[in-house]
Amino acid sequence: MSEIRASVERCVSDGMLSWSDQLTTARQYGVSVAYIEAVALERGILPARYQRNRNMLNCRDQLALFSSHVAVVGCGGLGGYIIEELARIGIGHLTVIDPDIFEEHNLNRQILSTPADLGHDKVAVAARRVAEINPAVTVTPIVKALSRNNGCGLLAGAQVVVDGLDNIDTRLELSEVCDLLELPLVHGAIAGWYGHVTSQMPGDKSLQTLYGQRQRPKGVEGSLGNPSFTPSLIASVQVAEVIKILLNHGEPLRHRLFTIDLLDMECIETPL
Amino acid sequence: MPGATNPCCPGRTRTFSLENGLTGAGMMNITVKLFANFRIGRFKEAQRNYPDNTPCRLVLQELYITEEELGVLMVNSRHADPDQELKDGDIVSIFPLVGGG
Repeated sequence: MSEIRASVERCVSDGMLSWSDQLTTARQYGVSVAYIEAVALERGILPARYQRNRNMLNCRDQLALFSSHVAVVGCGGLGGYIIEELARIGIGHLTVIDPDIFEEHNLNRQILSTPADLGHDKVAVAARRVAEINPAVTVTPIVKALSRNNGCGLLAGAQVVVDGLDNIDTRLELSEVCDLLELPLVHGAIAGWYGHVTSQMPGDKSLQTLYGQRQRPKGVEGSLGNPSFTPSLIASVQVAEVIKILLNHGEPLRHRLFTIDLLDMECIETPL
Repeated sequence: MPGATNPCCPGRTRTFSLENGLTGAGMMNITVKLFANFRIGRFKEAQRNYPDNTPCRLVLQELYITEEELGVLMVNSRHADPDQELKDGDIVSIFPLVGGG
């Protein structure tokens, strides 16, 4: 351990550890790049891949993110971008949950989908993508539909849950599970030119307020569809919320529904 | 414009008058704000007259907005039930149900 630390310190240049040195040191000592990343961050050494996160995030923030476990439920339009951004910013552990495979109608907007991956499990493609872009991130892929019956088991260990689902019934079940586990839930939903985000803390019941108790399987997205640009926008707002919650920075969208209308270019905030 | 019909999409609003079956001592002025796709063929914001004690449900019906489409309904920035009766000067905000991902 001390030998690895010393080796990492020898590689430091301008307070940072290059990816090349991170990889070489991991191979030299037969440990994972995640292990080397933890060693570096604990010693205040920033992996160079995160240098443009400075000074918005300091090295301590980066370590907090690397020590975090975030669950993303749904790996489609919203979930794909959420996973991409969480991996790039340096969240250490992602659990990604989705029962579906990629289909042709996903290609207009789902960042993880490609013609070559049609028919493949969305979570398997997500895990492969994260391994390509940030190998220090651990991914737990789960090919299951989350429900109130299995949710507690699937989300165990996560500190924040992100809603990338595509139907209201499952969202209400996810909200119940997060409440039981006392986990923050960052909710996002889209339809056509429109989308919204809110962050529900345990006990808030924001999704119940938003969607009511009645079962309503589909919203207006059924008739409006979903273009390429709305998922990336709403997903990015959700990721900003995750980072704020994990680091206790800024003002999360608690008790607030942040609605974006891209057709009229309006942002509307309503209490929840 | 009370009871106005949008010329762009004449089917999406309808005149609501005492002849429709509601009778009351008087009329009240309500500001109706629509959001997202509810604006298409209707309006963003309008001052509309309704008989006293009109419930929100009838405002929705007048605008051909079904409860299945309804997401958030607010009266004076507070969440409301379609059964809530309106008072003169109230502001009603109507958002569609958005649930895609």
